[in-house]
Amino acid sequence: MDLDAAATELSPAWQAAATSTLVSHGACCVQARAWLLASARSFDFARSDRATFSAPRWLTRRYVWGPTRWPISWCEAVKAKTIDCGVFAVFAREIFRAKGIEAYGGQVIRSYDAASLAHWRAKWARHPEAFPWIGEDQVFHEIVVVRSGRDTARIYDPTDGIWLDSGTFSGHYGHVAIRGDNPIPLDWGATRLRRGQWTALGRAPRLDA
Amino acid sequence: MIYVTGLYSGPSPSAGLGVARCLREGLAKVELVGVDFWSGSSGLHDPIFDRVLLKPSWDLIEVDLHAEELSQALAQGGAWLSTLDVEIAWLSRTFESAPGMLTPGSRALAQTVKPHASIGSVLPLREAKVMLLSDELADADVHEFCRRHSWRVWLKGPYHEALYIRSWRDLENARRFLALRWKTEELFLQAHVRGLEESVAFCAVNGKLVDAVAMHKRVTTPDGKTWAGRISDVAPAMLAAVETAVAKMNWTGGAEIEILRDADETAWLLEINPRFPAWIYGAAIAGRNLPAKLASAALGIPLAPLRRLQAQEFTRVVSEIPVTPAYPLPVPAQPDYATIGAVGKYGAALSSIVELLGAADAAAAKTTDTPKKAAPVRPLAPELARELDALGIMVGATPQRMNLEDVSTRLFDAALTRVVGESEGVERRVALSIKTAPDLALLRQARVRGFFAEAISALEVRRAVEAGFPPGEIVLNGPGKWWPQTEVVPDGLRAVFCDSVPELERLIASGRRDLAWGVRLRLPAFDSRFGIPVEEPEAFAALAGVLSRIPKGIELGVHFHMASSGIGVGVWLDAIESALAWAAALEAATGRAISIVDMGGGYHPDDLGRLPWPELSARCRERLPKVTTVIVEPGKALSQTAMALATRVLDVRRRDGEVEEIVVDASIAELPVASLHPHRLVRRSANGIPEAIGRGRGRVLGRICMEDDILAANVNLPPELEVGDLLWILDAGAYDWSMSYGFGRGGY
Repeated sequence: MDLDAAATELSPAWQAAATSTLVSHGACCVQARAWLLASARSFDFARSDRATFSAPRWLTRRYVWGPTRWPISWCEAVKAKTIDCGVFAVFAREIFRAKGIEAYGGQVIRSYDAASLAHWRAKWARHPEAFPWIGEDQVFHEIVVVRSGRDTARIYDPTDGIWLDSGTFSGHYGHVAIRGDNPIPLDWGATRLRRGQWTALGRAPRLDA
Repeated sequence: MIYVTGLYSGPSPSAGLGVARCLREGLAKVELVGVDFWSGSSGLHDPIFDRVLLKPSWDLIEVDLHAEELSQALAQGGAWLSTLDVEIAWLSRTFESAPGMLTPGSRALAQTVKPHASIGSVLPLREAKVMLLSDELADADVHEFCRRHSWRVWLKGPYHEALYIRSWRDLENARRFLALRWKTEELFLQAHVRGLEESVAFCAVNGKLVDAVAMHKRVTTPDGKTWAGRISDVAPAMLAAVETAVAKMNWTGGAEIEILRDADETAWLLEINPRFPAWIYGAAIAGRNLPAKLASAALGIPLAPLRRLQAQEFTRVVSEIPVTPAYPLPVPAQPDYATIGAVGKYGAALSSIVELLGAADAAAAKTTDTPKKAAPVRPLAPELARELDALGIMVGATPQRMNLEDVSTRLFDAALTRVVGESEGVERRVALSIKTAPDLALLRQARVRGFFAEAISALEVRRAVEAGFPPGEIVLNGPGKWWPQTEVVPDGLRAVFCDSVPELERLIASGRRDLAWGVRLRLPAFDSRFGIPVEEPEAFAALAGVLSRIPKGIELGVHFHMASSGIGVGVWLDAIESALAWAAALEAATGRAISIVDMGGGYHPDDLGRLPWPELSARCRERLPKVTTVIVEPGKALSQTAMALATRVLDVRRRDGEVEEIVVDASIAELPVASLHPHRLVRRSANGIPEAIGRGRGRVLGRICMEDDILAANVNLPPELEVGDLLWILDAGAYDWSMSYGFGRGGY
């Protein structure tokens, strides 16, 4: 279901937000990116697993999720202990692409229990310059759209190290809407992702953040 | 009345309680009798049952009486629904498809038996590679299977239990443990598949599918058992296949197909269990009550009004319930220091049914006059037998290690033809690892074939020079390569690979001149004490900074070493890809080209010639456009099988007429890596011909007073063995030689 009407209820900041990218200073950032991709190959085990789509699960083990001060460069991001979902998504996208897999930026609107959101508001309150990703009971979250077939996609969430279930739409950690940068339409389960368009999942979300 | 067996309800529960809940909720009216064989099974105390039967454990049960009681229950209109794999196997043989028996018959069951469930061929699932273990199978083949699957394999028992195997020593220990626990040698290896677990549960009556559901595990116990899951419809293709399979097998009862889904979403068949899974009540919560539907379809019991769907997902909770006074809890046995193999689910009792089934098989074999065959032993290669035969007359005081010169020549020639070469403008050179065989004769074999020598100390460099290697054909590696400092290492070595950044800095400052300098990399995700770690961006940057300072006239190289025999061939190929990725990253970070890649050693003799060397050279060129040389450092691949240890029998210990153990005059002092890889055992037969000894239950004990001086624990010792007999232990070169020591020789 397209969200032509509902999309207008999205927070203006969420509507306007583009997929995150990292700044490059030059040689130091080239070296940082090279380090990331070499690390990714070490943890990949694609040859022994004979699996193409193994995702960079190691990112979740290496980095702690938390606020990032934007803009951030490659050389700063790889050395950071804590990164937000935008940096996780940039890293994963680059790693998939280095493996020859088409990967695009994307975002989901995710619902959360209010008890969790209260803590994240507190955590981000110390970073007033950070992107306003937390709504009333939903959040804006960056993910990666991975092209898995001619016209199919899978959605990887590098922050949590999971492939999203295209059938979980409600409740804590439910996904109520999605948007991807994929240049051609791709199907994720029963959902068709069109470039730049928010699409509701399962039921119309409360897009009142 | 429905009898439900399997009431254990611990962290790895049987399905009986879940099945009973389904029946109680889904059938209009039913009397439920819970049956178990251990008073510690907590399901005995659940009020869901109208009554319970506590039978003796399977090692104490009177099987004929049990069968008679069961027959009477069926004759009185009762139904029997077992949730225990091993009991189902016994039921299928004892009752076949009696009315009221809600389990599959023996022909149906035979098509689901591990490891090769024949019915799996109709399912849209790939099957993980398996190897059925037996005494007939050569240890070398088992070792090869494990290497091929990168030592990520499971050793599985006939019905339950799986142990993850990472090494030969693991496997030998696990094999003994499971054989003892399950009282059978019918074990098998299954290659590990990395993936997420899901299941399809179904039920059928006389080959007609009644219902099926899919379950994706969401939370698991530390043992990987389901704790919470999501229920959904079975995908249409899978459902159609299950329908076909059920019809083909004429299945009656419940079942579970265990599946792994890998990163590419390929579904792999793990196994088919001939009973409902323990999570089956979770499906009823989702509105799919399979046990009730089975009972209704098979017995004609009306279904209760359908309970509406409560949730697609279910989870378990831990809860205390009162113990029924009639079945007080078992008092724990006094703690014991002995090795306890089985604690928990049924203890060792279920293995008694396996023994019972084995006895039935043996009886069946006897009635059909099948002669018991001795396990065939793979014969020695004729050329090896000839060489041993010729050496036999030269054996003096034992233990005596002897070179198998023909074998050695063949190994060196094979390395020359299969490894050395040039492709894509990259030359591949072999460097003999001196530490594995510091023998001048072997070094000369290497020299005449144009191999390099690989040293890990200044003394080994001296040895290489003595063998005629010019410095430009010597590679120097290792964390202590300049030891002893009294030795002068000549300039002009082909390559020196540093093990730390400070060492590289000292090398740059030393004023030495060699043809190439480089670093050994410690790759992330690979556990090693060697090499320079690059896991932190700061460490990587520091390494790149020092590498940039290497004088321009000296070539740059990277070295990676992780024994493929230890990590397996697939993971080793991953490691090479990883090393090349880091080398490319270093090129990007330093602006310097890397011209030498050293792939290290640690190859199994059988793998060295099989690895795709031309492809690997091409891959090096692809990732590192200026690379000119790939160095491969086999050591044990060229010498492990080229030596045999002659030993004589010192003592023969018999039991029931069979040789149970022998003591020989060799020991782990002469065979220090006896437990790390298989060693073939050869004896001189009655007609004087060397003859391989196969696998069995006998043990070969070493001469020294060390508990772990066990040279072989699973061999079929010939009954005619006598004190003084000569044996050969093969595969005794390489580290068995270079690391041997003089323990127990009184200093002589």
